[in-house]
Formats: sequence, C-alpha cells, structure tokens
Amino acid sequence: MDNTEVCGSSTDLAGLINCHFIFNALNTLKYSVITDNPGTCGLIDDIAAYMRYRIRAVYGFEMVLLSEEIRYMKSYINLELARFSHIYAEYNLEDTDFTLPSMSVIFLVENAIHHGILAKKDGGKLQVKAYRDGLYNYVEVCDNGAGIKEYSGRYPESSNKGIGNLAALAERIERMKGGSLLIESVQGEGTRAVIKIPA
Amino acid sequence: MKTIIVDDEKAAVEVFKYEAEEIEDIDIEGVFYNWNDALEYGGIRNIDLAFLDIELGGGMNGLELASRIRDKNPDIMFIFITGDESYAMEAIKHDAAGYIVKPYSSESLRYAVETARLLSKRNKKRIVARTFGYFDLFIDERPVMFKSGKAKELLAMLVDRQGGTVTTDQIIGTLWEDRPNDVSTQNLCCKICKTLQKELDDNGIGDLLITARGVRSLDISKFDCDLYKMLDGNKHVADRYIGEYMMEYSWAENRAALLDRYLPTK
Repeated sequence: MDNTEVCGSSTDLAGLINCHFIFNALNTLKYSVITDNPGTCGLIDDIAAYMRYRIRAVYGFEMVLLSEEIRYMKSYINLELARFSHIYAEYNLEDTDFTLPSMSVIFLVENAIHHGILAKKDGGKLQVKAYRDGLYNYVEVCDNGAGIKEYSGRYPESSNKGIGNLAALAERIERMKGGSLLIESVQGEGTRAVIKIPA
Repeated sequence: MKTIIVDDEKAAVEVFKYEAEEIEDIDIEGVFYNWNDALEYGGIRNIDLAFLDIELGGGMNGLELASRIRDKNPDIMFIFITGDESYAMEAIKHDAAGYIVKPYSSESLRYAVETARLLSKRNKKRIVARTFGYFDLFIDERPVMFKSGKAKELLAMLVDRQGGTVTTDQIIGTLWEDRPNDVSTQNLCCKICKTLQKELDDNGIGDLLITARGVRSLDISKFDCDLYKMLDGNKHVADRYIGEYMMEYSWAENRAALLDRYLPTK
C-alpha cells in the first residue's frame, strides 16, 4: 500500500500525475492568454505548484502539514474555478497545524468536483473546513452535487465496504495516523467526506 | 459547414472559437454548455459538423450524446474533444469522424475537419451557389451547365431571395420586365419554372426547389452560398466581396447597393 493507490485512478504514470487534469489546465491557461486575463501568471504558478506537489507525492513524500496540503489544494481549486464557471468554493480553515497523508484532501476535492458538482447540470458549491474538536482534528470536504451511489447513507457505518480509491484512502489514514474517513452521501443532494485524526 | 460545439467548460468553448476563427469552413451555428440544450436544439437536422467534449458533465458523456444526436441527424459528422487521449480510442470505435486533444492548435483543428470531411464525402453532394462576380451553381466543385439561361436566372433570383417565396407575378416583373403580364408571358414563366425543375432533377438536386400553391422558394439548408455567409457575419467571406454581385443580372443591382457596407472602407 503506498501513495500510488491514492493519487491516481490507475497505476500508470499518466494516472499518477493526473495528466488529464494537466492538459485541461493548459487549455484553460490558453483561454486566459487569449482573453488577456490579468490572472494568467497566477494560474501558471498554480499549475507549477500543483504539479511539483503531485510529483513529490508519487516519489513517496507521504506526510504533510495540513496547511501545506491546503496551499496546493487551493492551487488545484483555482485552476478548476478558471476552467468551470459553475463551481463555487468556500473555505473555513480554523486549525491546520497537524499532519496527515499527502494528497488526501486534494483527492477528496477532486472527487467532489468531478463526480459530485460537475455531474450536476448547473454545477454547485464546494466547501472545505478544518477544525479541532476535543481530542480530534477534522477536515471536511462537502459538495452539493450528485452524490455517490455506492456511498448512499453513511460509510463505514453502512453495510457498504467502500470502493476503489476512497477505500484505499481510508486505509491509509488509519494506518499512518490512526484516523478514519467518514463519507455521507445522498443521491442528488451531495456528499460530505470527513477526515478525523487524533490530535 | 454548419457547426455546433457542446462543452461544459466556458474556457474550452472560447478557445475553440478562437482557433475555429482561422478556419473558413467552420460556421458556428450553436454553442451548448450542456447535453440537454444540445438535444433540444431545433436546428440539429441542418448541422453538418458537431464538436463534442467527451468528458461532458451532467450525467451524459460526449460519446453517448453523439448517438442521441445521430438519431436526429444521420448525416452529421462528429469530432470529439478530449484532454485525455485514452478516451479517444473509444471515440474511434464510435464511428467518430475524428478527435482532437486539448490543448490544440488551429492546425490540428483544420486537420481534424479535413479528415472528417473526407470520411463523410462518401455519399454527400456539396452544392454551392456563388453570387459574387457572376452567378453560378456548383456541385462537388463543378459548375452546373444550364441549358436554359432563363432557368438559371430564375434560380439566381430565388437564391437572391434567401429562401423567401416568389410569386409568378414577381418572377415576370423581374425576369421579363419589358413584357406585359399577360397569358402568354404567364405561360412562358410556367414553362421556365418547369425547365428549372427538370434541369435540377437532371443534376440530382431536384429537392432544392420547393413549389407550393403557385409560389416558389429554395431549400437553403441544402446548399452553401457566399452571400448568406457574408450576411451571417463571416469575415473571411466578406473579405472576398469587391462590390460585384450577380453582375449579369440588372435586377441584382438593388441588392448590390445594399451590400456596399461590406466593402472595405478606404
């Protein structure tokens, strides 16, 4: 079990560094240049930062501070916001001073955008929250998108064992930090993913 | 070619428009940001070419959308757009005309369009009415040799009307302005109308002319025309206009005067 199972949808290099995303981001950059968008330089910084972080994760850079993961997550989200006009993002980040497996939050955000929000015709809203409550640190990624069929109800409390990459992520969080991943999803209404890590 | 694009990314659509601008052959008739709007588009039957984003959101991908569109327009050509080349293999299986991978240059766009056209040429005739300079009708780039000059002039008049109808009186007033509008002229007019129909039939494009209750018109979805493209705002076509419109016909001068605003200002 390593990063590869979390980072990409497949085990080839293209999947590991998410080539698909990068080429689409380049197309977005082109649009930004065509329209003389003053934010173009920022987008170039975002794609460079995101790629560097993603490649680092592939080479076994496993544990990061949440504040660092958040920085690259924002680069990623900026690129998606520039690409799709019908996504909104909201952050509420109170406590980000703890470590967790790298790419875990970004992976949940990717899922929320592509399988949740974009699966709905009119798009939707993404929320990322980080807070501490008692003995635990929490990171929440919520969307009001299409929902994940396989996670209807609550995971892992529901009878579903979890699928593919999300199951791999849950295993990684538990093994590396003794934490857990909770998924709640309602078809047509959205998904809430919560990473819970002992403080 | 009448073209539509379906992509849920505004940025991708703008990039497409930017590159497609370079290609004279692409006339964008519709832009759709979701599959639903594309399927509800009433003009789909007249579209020649559709660019479809494969990773279309909203519960239907570009490949599925293609077969739904194909149901409504069996002759349409598809070019798929994708950020991930591995999806393209799926597209080829899907009797796709071609695909392009983001980001793409206008060169690769042009190549995809050419490929699509070659693949679709199988049984489709291309009819073009040229109005700049002297009037001519072309089928697959060959001019149609009309036996009757008057029949050709009637066709020119109908092209000039842009699909609008003309009555027998209007035809007489235009084509035989010196003759009285009497029974013998009306018979002549009727004969020329039949001659035109026969000449078109002989060339395999009889469905161009529509005759109903004594009025006539052309099905303008069946041919391309430089005048129509210029009026639609196609800059490349307008650049070719030098103030000469259906020069052999005196009645065309009225239109020519209206077209002066498309001439380069000096």
